[in-house]
Amino acid sequence: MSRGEIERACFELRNRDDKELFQRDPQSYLARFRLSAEERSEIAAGDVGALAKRGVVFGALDALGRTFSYDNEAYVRRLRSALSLDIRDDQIDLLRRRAAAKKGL
Amino acid sequence: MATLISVLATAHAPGQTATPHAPIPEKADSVYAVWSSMGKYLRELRPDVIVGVSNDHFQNFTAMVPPFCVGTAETHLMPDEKFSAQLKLTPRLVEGVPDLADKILEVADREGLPIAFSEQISFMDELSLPLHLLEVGPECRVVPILTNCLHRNRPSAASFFHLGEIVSKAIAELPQELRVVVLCTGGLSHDPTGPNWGLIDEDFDRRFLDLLSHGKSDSLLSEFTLDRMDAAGRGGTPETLNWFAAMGAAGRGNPAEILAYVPVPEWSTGLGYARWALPGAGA
Repeated sequence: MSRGEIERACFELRNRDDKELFQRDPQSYLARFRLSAEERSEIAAGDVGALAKRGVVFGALDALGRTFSYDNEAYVRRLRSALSLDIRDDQIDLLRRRAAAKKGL
Repeated sequence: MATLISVLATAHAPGQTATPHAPIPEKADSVYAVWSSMGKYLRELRPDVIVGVSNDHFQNFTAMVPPFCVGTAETHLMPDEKFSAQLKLTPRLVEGVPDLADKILEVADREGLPIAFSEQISFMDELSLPLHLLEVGPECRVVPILTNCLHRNRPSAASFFHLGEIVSKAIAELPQELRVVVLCTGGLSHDPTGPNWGLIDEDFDRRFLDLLSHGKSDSLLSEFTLDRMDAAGRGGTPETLNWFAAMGAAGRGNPAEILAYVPVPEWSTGLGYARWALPGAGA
């Protein structure tokens, strides 16, 4: 497995054309990267938790999460669950307040 | 000969320009008051050049990830247009100082610290935001140094400290008469895109600033390991490494004056601001 290759596949989703291709046909998009079948499947499923367990840098996971339109709360829940961290109410409260404030802008 | 006249360290959390009204007014006001006071101090120093040390946010360092990268271009666009709307910052062309950038590379090579260079750096909030909030005018030129704090295989705090020492030596070796300020930005504790997103580790921040204020360089180097920084938020806290470059530039054992520490949950960051007096520099 190559964390660097997974990260490249995620980071390139920040380009609009690449993101559109991935959303339309994830396997075609992912074919250009040297990934195992399991890695391709995790990226195609937006499984940021599984990828975090592989040690993929969070910046790359954020790019993938945005492609799937995860809000910060959903994204954090996935990460914490995969990393066996308890969900913290104060954190979730804060993320909700921040999301509400952003919507109000 | 160029002279290092002051060293500053600040936060660069993007909320400070992107969502200025998110925190309660008292907190936001206290943050902007610090920027205003630091900006006034900086203008009174009349620097010709700022060497800005801060970390890449994956906008440059992806396919190739150097430990450090000096911007050698004649001009730098800060921020890159693609980040302008998100940061609510108007891009502006900042003049660079290729001679000083080259001198930093020369001294780094001599001292055995690997540093890359680029004339095509894309800037996000890391330097654009502090320069904007400090109201740095067009008369002040900038040498940017981007660092790897967030990717894998990051340099240690000791390497960042060494980077600061190298910058200081390079300034001293530059033949031009220039007044230079070193500005290091990032941190303190925060974890954007990480599992602790939104949380601030005040104990980490306060311990770090306490040691800094007493000039305890060696304790900082031994206590604030990459593991400790990661535990306080792998997605952002390691930006605190940039403060080690400030310490290196200011000199081992030189205590910092802590100007403020403001934990702002709405910006998901413990915001720290400090400066170092440099004996004999008139700062």
